[in-house]
Amino acid sequence: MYQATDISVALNSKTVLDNLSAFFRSGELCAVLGPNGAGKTSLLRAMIGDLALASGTVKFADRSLHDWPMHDIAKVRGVLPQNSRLDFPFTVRDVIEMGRFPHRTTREHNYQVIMETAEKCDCTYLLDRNFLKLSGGEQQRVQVARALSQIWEHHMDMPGFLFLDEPVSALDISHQYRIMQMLGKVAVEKNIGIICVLHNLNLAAQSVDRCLILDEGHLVADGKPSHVFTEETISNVFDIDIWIQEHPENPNVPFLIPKLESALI
Amino acid sequence: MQHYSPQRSWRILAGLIIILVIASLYSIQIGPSAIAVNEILSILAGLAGLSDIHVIDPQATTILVKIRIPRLIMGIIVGSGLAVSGCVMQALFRNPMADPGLLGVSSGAALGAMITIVLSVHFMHYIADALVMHMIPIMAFAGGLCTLLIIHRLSRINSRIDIPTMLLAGIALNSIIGALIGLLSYISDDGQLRRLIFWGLGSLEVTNWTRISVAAAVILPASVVMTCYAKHLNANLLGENEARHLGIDIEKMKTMLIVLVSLIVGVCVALSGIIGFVGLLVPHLVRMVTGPDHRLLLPACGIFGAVLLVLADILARTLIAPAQIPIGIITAILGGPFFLWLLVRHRRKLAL
Repeated sequence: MYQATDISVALNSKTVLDNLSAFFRSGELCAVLGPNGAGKTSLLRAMIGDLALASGTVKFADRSLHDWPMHDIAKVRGVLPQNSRLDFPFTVRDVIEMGRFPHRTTREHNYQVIMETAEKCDCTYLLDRNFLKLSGGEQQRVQVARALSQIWEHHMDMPGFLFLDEPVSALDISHQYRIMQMLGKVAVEKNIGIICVLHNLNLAAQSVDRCLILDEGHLVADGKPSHVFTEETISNVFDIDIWIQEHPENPNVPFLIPKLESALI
Repeated sequence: MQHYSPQRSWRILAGLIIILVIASLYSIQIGPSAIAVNEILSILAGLAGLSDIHVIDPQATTILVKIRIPRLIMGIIVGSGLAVSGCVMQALFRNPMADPGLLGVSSGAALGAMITIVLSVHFMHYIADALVMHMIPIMAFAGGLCTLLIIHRLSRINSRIDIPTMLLAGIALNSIIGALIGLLSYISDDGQLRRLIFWGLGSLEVTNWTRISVAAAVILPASVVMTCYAKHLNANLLGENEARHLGIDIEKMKTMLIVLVSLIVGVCVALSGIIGFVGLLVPHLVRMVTGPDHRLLLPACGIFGAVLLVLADILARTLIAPAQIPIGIITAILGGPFFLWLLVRHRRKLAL
């Protein structure tokens, strides 16, 4: 369990998170949604200890983040920041292997983990390629595989957590859906908690277990996509009028269609 | 593309050591009085107690032991020290343009050494006797450390190293230090001036065994400690935040490595003056063969840096024989155009 209680964060004397409380469970794929500047990345960075809190606490497994030594928490928590970049010509396999850094496991074992996570992210055919020669989307999938390989196994029986800031922003539509579906499955199978910042509401509606919607540093909705995606919430938060329909395949999955005239400026 | 693997690493390192041995033998063989390789080998065997030293030409022995071997070892130590610290700086700054010479660390160290040479009469009596004879390396270390800290602080924007800022800060620092060095030369007397010019050009010439042992005692352990950080440096290339989330204490690692780099550069400069571009040239050439993984790259840079400086020293001694060219001029003539080529290649990415 990963819990933030009444956290406030200010960046350049502007409040970006205002007395916000949220929790993340293992075995669940969670999306953090909201318009630009709503505080999604700030929430993620506050949760992982990258931002200083003005007030409130963040606890992971009932221990305050400050009480976690860096090298211990790295064994149970992976992080993929937005726009992660690398300027040196490592092979894809070497990049994914960096996710194994916190673990003292053998090369053979790491090799096995790399093969498994690469397959999950559709990177197997890229393993021997130069990371710098890949397209943006391919690089992003490799980075997701690296983050996955960090928490691929439970350490000391503790469920892992994975924080991904816009992990599919550069992917084509098919890979967006495949990676998100995969993350949902992995969360359940491995009993890990996965938290993604996303922009594509329909993608979130069709792939995650839970959505947190942020607006101006507040948490305005938290729950299953079918509960939080209401015409009222979405139009208030995102400032766009939409229709919400049922997905043709599954009536429990909402499907959002923006109204044309409301998008005109 | 090649992955990192221990077997491949050992093969490459062994190959590099063989190249270093051949270059070294060639280097001590040539000179005003050539000494044949078999003679060198028997002298070395004699020195090691494996054969009777008295049957060997005493003049050749003296030349080897007093002149050529100290100079060779100095070249090896300085070459690997500069190459390894250049490699570590590139990893710390997360970009392939970092180099102790370009960023002013070497000139900062030289400034420290020069302050000692020119102004020491004014402050020497405040310093403990034990330290006096090591004042030049100590001041060189302090000068290098200050420059490196300033560069790192200036070029870091939002926890990211900005390459244009870093290079421009290097230019600015180099010219500030150049002005201070100019000032020092202006107020120095003839003897001091000669020594100052020697720092600027770089030379392996003045060597004796004491200075070499001090250098080795500092540079070898420092390089070993740096090599222990190889995997940390790999992770650091992903970004500072990324490395922290892989469990690395980034601030501790940076402090440690910055101090070690300054220490190595300081000792190298104190020994041999400013020998530029080794820290830039070597990691690039080695990376083309080894790939970017520091577990192999760092030791390979250590050996190849030695090879490069041994070869440069051969050129320095032979090009206009019997006169010698300062070795810093040779490395600058080789390294300058290489740096320009790098700039052209990275021009689009740099967007200066």
